[in-house]
Amino acid sequence: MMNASQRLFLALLLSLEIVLTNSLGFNGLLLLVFNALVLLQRIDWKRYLTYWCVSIIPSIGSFWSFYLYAQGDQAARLHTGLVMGSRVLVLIFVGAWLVNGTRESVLLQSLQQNLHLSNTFIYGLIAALNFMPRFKQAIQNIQAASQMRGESLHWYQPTIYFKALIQAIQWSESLAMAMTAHGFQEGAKRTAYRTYPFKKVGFCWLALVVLFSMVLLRLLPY
Amino acid sequence: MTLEVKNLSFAYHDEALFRDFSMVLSPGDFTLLMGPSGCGKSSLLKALAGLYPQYGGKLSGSVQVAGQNLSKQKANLRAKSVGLLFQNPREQFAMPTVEEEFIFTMENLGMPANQMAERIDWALKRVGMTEFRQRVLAELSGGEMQKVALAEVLLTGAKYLLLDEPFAAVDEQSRKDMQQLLFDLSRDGYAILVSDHDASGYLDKMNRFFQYENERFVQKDSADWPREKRTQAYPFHKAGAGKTLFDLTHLRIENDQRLLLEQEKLELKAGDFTLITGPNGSGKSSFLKCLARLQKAEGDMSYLDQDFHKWKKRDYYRQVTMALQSSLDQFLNITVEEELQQVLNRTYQKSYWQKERLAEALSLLGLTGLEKRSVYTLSGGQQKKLQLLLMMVMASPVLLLDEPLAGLDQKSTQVLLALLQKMTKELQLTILVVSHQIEQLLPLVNRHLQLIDGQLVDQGEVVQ
Repeated sequence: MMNASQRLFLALLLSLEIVLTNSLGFNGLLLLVFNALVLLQRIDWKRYLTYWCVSIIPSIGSFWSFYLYAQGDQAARLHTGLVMGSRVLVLIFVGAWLVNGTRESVLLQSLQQNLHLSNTFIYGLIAALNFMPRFKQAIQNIQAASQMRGESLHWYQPTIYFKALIQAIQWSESLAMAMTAHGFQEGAKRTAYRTYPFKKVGFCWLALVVLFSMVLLRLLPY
Repeated sequence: MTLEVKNLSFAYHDEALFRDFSMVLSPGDFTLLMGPSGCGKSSLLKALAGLYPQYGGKLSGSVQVAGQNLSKQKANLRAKSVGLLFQNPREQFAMPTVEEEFIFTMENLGMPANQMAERIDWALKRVGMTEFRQRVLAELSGGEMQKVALAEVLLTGAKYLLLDEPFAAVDEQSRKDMQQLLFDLSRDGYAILVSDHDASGYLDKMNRFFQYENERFVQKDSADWPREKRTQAYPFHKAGAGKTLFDLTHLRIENDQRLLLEQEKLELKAGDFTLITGPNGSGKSSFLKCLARLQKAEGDMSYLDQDFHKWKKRDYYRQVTMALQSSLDQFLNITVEEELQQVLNRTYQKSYWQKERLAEALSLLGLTGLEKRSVYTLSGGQQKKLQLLLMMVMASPVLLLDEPLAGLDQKSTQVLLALLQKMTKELQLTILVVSHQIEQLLPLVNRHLQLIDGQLVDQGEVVQ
């Protein structure tokens, strides 16, 4: 229906609408719809629960601070608090829907093709994402290595991140060399094995969803 | 068409590495380049591939392919004539899977999309890795990665293949396979230039040999080529009867959902110097990491009669330390001096490791004068030597060594092993070592465990 770039546009547009409006009904509806969409993506239930766990604290925090300190009478504050709290939830589930539906490398490559972003930026990001698992392992190794040298490094100590950063710089240099050796040239014309063209029907969907959401925003009472 | 190098000199960080290198590499050539660690073999190959001076360093002289100056060419053009395999297989891939990595390269070169699938099949078949097309690169072993890297270079159509110590962490069998593969490629009109520390396996294949001498790579006549080592069985004295340190039962180690090791029972005793051998990717490193608690394993594992998990990590690492395969992972500080001072303060053998002894070790290892240098700007070999020295100074009761000699030249190896031998004897340390460089280690070893089909088996001798 939509290619990866169009899905990103949809997510951005809806996020913008949520952030610029104050309709609890709209937020609630989107939360329901995107929860359903995420569940339809058949992700692991643990992952689904993680989304709730991650979102619940900032959501409640948002609600609470607006409910206590916003302007207006209690009813207005309750409304503002609920809008703000639900906003966080909706944003996280819209993001989850986007991320689960596309692989990062596909999203980045389609953005490159559709919007003509710089290849250096895109492939730099893809390469960096591929290094993420190594990064996690690297942090654990740094901690173990320091203990083997009779010192304990904890997660709050900057030395760990300094080491990790140096490692990242080293990796990035080796990687840049390897990419150059494999013929990667900044600004050069490349061919594409897989293309991710915009789909017309995707734009129709985009327009439809945005229009429909505007109508909803008008009609919803609260 | 030839690759012609004229009067190439290279300096990095104001330090001259090699001077006046000239050679002509023609299709069908199989050339070996040898020299001590840090002499600039890697830099030479990178310069030949056109990566220097783009990535730093001062280069003079010229490298030409078919009369065209390589350093003036764009990377996507250069890659079509010269291909480079890196020393560290893990740091040469940008994409997650074999197929995506190959596509990335072909896209760089502007190949038509409809030819790509076929070309991938061809390249993988050429190196005998057809079934690896969809595999995730991070899950491959070092040897498998190097074969994939070779296939990737073949994809580009490059006829000049440069290999920078490609076998540093590759087992004997994969090494032999790949050497044969390279030889076949040279027969098919490819030009091969490979740098290595170990001449074995090349002598019946190469037609030229360069040795580093006095800041120069000098071509040697076949009379002066290194000799092939004979296959030989080395017996050694039996394991001592120290107290049991590690007691492992029903041990199971898995990696990427692949069962590596399933061991009913294994005891490791104090004071032993144990060598662990086995094919590449068979799980030797994983076993060491499991002892160092850097990798999860199932089963009952105890150290000094106490369950692994009851040991606090902090206390455990006072007993057991490991020299990691990548030296950089071991460093904590920035300069060499800071590193040395840190271990002098923290060593478990303060009376043994006095300043004088450390200074002597430094000079034997050729590390004197580097005190102010950042550990990150040392050459690979210097980093390795420093790393091993640091762990030797810490001198925990058990020291695990994962490929400690990879990337080291003959002389450094000898010096290091002499230091290690003296120290383990005088301090009664227990050493476990995983290494492919078996011969030099043998005088120190008194137990040999060979990993065969997921089992560590005691062997009375080492056959090489």
